Amino acid sequence: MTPGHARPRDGESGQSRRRCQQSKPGSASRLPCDPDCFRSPAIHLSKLVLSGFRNHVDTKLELGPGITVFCGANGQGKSNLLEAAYLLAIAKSPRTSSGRELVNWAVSEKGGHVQVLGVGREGDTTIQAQVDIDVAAPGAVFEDGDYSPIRKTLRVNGIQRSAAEFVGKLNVVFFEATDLQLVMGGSAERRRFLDILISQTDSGYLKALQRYHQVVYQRNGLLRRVRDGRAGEDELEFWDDRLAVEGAAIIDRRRRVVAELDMFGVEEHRGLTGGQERLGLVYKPKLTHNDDDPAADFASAPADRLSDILSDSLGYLRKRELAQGISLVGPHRDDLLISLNDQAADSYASRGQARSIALALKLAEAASVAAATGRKPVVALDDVMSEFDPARRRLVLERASQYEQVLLTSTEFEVVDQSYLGRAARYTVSAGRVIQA
Amino acid sequence: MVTGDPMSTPDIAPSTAAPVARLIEAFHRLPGIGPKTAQRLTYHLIRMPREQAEELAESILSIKDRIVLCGRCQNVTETPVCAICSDLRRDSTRICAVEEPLDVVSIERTRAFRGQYHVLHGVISPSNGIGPEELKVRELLERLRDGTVQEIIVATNPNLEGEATAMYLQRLISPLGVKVTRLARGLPAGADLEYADDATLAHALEARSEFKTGQ
Repeated sequence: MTPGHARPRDGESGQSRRRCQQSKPGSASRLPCDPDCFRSPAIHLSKLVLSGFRNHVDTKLELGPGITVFCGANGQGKSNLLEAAYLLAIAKSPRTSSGRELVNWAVSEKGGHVQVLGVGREGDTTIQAQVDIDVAAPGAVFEDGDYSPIRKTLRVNGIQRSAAEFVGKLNVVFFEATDLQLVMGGSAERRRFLDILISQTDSGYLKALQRYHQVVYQRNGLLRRVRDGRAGEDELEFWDDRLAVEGAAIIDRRRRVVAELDMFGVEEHRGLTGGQERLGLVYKPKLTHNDDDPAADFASAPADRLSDILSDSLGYLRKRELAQGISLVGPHRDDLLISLNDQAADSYASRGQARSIALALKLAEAASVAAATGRKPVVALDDVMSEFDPARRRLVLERASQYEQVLLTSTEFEVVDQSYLGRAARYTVSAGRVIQA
Repeated sequence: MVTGDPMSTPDIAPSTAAPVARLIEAFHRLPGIGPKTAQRLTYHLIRMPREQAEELAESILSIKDRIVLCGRCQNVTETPVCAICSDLRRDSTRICAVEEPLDVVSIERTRAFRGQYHVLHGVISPSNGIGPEELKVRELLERLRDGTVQEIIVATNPNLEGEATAMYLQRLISPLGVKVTRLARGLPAGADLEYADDATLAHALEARSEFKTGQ
């Protein structure tokens, strides 16, 4: 199954279908539907404006569909362009959680304003996403008494939005060399991967996740208070219940997306490895008091049973949780198990194999976003080509170029196969300046 | 690092006279007042007639000297028992429990509630070290002793901490034979369905009510 055959959902795809049916009066000679309308809907970034963002003082780019290659030596700012595009999709940087790192050095030192603005185009409609970062001068605070030294404001079509409302307006799937950590790194990397994927397609999920983290934060505080004899154990009841109910909803949502990823990922992986190896993805909720218990019992539990199982686990773990002062079960401790030929990938896979798995996961993410939104996302490949041999590079380009727009960075144009490079838009990036090549 | 510290000093030019700098800093410590506003207020006060400045200073001191918590509802007042608690026309069988004194003002403005209040002075927030002991819960239980009160309306905010507090009060008070109710969560008056967020709309559906005859 390819993203192109994604089932259309409501919203944008519905609109484009309606557009197809309304042939303009007086244009009878035309087909009732433009042939382009038969292509599945897709979004591309038609404009990207960066001011004060990392080393881009003032960069304005008009972008088109197809492949765009940004080439430059390390540290010149080519990756920052892709990072900016991703920031417009998920309201966060893939690299850092600190806003200060995102801003120009001068702004960071003296205070000031940073802006990333992008225009997404989907058929006849455009959407403008904008992230403003204000940095207060050292020692100062904002006029309205906001004490945080850095303030991020999100806007869609000029109207201020919350993160949950902002994320998912522009869909970008971001690949980078460190994606290897998805396979080799800790479980937090994989939870983050799943959370970003779901947030891009389900606006309620980010809110649910924020709520859940607040529950864990307060509950951990209470566990410590109970341990120190400053609160009664009975006060935990409300927080146990919230953790079980909110946690179960998150587990269920992640479980469903993993089933979908497994379907797309296995396919992508087979393509990348020539069918030699078998990838497997399973969501493993940490639900039990005994880590040796097979997760399978819980993995198949119906959604409405999940919260009961979570509650039971909390009961089993009460003493240990009180001793440690932290919540030991729930989606904040879960993992995505990746297997290669039925062996755990983090210990069994070679670096080369891990690289293919990470790439398959990312391609599956793109397919999954396309399936859920009914619209192909923008694909951003940050310096990943150099990691692969020429045959694999062609495969990657072949898979990626099914998407409407591919933004790609590299230290040299040669990593892009001639058959693709000929049609690609080419830019060189040097010291934060972008010049058409 | 000073940046981001609520107590950080605003950028005051070294040449500024000491009393001026002192007042700017004092204003800056107030919630919602940034360095520019603090400066503007200070220079405004310099031009203000002496009587007005005295009145301002005196009124600030008097809230410290004369304001106490009401012996019954814990709201801020200047008499041992506040005006609402001592109003005999008010329904003493119903108590509305709120987080802050300002919430009393909001509910009073509706003129839809004729019972009495109880100000908890906060909500349960274990991570900030606030448990029921830190709230005015014991004082609320005290008021239930003589059996007059039949209903506690919990009007804490509909967020996690507010719900935790509501749940705690319900567990504590229901066994005493006093009815505990919670403010409904739903659509704001005069709102359009299409602009309501999902959670609010879901709650409104869940807490839908049947048409009452005569409405």
